Amino acid sequence: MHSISPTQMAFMRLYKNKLSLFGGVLVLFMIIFCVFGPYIFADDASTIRLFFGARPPLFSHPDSASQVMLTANKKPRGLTLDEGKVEIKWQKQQIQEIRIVLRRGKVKSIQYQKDAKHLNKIKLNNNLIIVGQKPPVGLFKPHQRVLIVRQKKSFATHITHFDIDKTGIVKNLQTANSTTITLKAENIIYIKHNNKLKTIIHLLGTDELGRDLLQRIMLGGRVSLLVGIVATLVSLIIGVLYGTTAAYMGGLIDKLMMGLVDILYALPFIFLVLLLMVIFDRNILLLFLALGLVQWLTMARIVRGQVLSLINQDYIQAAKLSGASVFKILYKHIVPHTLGTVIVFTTLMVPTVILEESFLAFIGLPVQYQGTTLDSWGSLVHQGSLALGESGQKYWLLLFPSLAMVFTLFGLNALGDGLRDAFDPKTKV
Amino acid sequence: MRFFFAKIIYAVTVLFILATVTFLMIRLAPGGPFSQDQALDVSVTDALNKRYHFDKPILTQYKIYMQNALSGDLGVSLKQKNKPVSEIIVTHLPPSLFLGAIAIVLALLIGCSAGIVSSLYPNSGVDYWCMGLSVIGISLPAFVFGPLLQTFFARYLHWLPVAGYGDIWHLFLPSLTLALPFASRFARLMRSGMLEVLNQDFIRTAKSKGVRPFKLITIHALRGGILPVVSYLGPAIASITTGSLVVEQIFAIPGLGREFVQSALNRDYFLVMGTVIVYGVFIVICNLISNFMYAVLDPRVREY
Repeated sequence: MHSISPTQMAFMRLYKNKLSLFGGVLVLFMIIFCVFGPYIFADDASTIRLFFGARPPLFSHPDSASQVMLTANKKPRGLTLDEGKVEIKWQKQQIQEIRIVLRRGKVKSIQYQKDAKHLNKIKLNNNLIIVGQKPPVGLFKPHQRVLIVRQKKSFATHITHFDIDKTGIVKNLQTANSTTITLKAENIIYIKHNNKLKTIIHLLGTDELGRDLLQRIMLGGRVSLLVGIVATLVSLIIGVLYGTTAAYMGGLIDKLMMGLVDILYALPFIFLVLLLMVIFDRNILLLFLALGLVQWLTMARIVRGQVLSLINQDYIQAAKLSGASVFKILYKHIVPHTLGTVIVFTTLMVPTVILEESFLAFIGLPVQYQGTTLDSWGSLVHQGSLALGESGQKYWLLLFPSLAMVFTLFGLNALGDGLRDAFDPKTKV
Repeated sequence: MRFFFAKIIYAVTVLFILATVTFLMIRLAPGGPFSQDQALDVSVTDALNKRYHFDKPILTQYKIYMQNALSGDLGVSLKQKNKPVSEIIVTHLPPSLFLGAIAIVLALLIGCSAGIVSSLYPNSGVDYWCMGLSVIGISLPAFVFGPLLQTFFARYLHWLPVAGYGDIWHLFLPSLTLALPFASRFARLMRSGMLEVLNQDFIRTAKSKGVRPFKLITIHALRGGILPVVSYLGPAIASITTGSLVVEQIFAIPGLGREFVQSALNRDYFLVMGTVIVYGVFIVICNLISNFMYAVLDPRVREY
């Protein structure tokens, strides 16, 4: 029969806790999703497709940039294609604004905004509107006199064939009169490459600028997780140094140091962080430091408690007697023993920091790095809630970033709880 | 008595440090309240700087501000047409206070009852659900939960107003949003505190003496079991004030939190100082009350 070490027992306890195991799996999944996801789903999050705007999940369109330029014997612009035969079907479209004017309950005129050309009738959502007759019920609000509708006008479809050779140059471009064809992405119906359709699917839809939401969530997750982990590490380092020093020094110094912690504990730190972010530039490095400085107090307290319980043990006395220096005793013999507890609390600190960063981003202070704004989950949720619409038509913009964030926070909290219960059954904060 | 005095001295020190740090931070930062107004002439900004003592050395400014603040004069807002800061605070504090108060009461009610129930039936289905929900409650940020409640109860069911401030119904969704994470924390603290007490000898003695279960829980166990909740109450109130910054934005409540964020963005020095000091006083008082309550419930603490 073999004996079981306390660590093994702790892991057995953890294994029994299904909720925290689930949390651990969730965290692992989210980390892999954010770190490796952008390589798997190839659409670039910085590609802006303004003409599409916000589209619902599973929206798909031909794979091209917002403008495609094809010139014979040159590389195609706005398309990335390998060698092979290409077929593009396109159709010119125009969006027209049509003005419908009402007088005495009857339609007075229907005319184009642009060239003021008059029409006798127009079809609108299966309703026929005819000049001189009453419009369908519900089309005009009470007291509304003028209605402007937008209609798409489409022209005949064209099919363009060309080849791409080994060097990536357009060959055999068949055009009617010129050597260059310029196509807008909204006019392209499909792109076939060696008889295979080239399309992009936006699994989670697109945002207001037509950027892929899935990609943005994954990149935002990187920012959120990075802030969470680095700021926690900062607080960890400060807290461990401070806590061990206070505990090891003891006496008056300990009292003063922990008194300072007590005082700082009562400060509303997030206010100061907010001020810091407003006043100085919102550099991500500064944010790491600021959020780390908020969190180190708890860590210092926990570490101090741990060190105090260790310091009178026999092996420390033995180390002292054998002539080990203070630093050696602290960082060879004491700190490693506190690590278990520290790691447990680190797991619980990461979600708190992520939440604080997203709080700042939601207020309207997203982090920046060298002048460019880094969108974290917090700022995605913020943008989503702004773009939601009156009755929540663009729900996906808010829903998916929120879900990503809640999953991660839930996973981290559940895992941290389980770890704490398993490794440290006595502390219950 | 010494305990109470020590705590009060602590509280005053905290306030002093908070005011000093905030003052130094906003004064030592690059840019000033008038640097954004490009239309202003140099002579005008000079005059403005002189009027608000911004031309003097920072220590003198600090002395002037502190003297004025101690005599109750928090200065005027630099961006809102010379409105006194105290007036702005007086108009915007009540909504925040109501919101926070309702939230903390809701959190205590929900959290403590959930905690007690799950401590009475540990490792049962009820316990499992309560604790699972509490993890979700902690993980659900206010700016996710708030819009969720808004969409469901206001936009979909039309039971409650979407946003704004007026009667008690306007405050229901915001305070629920604000209360959720704290209710979850209270539930866990209550559960662990009760579990610890329920396993002690005096409870067994009381039980064997024939004390009725209801009385046993409410009178005997609760006094000890609620200690962790009470000690967390101070920090919780501090976090509720910061949480209200977000909730006030989501639900468009004209509270102090929005004023603070706006004034920070506008570099409205005196308004920032004023709001931070008011928040600081509030938090410190809540911490004090929490400490004293703890001392009343657990006499051992008083000896320190």
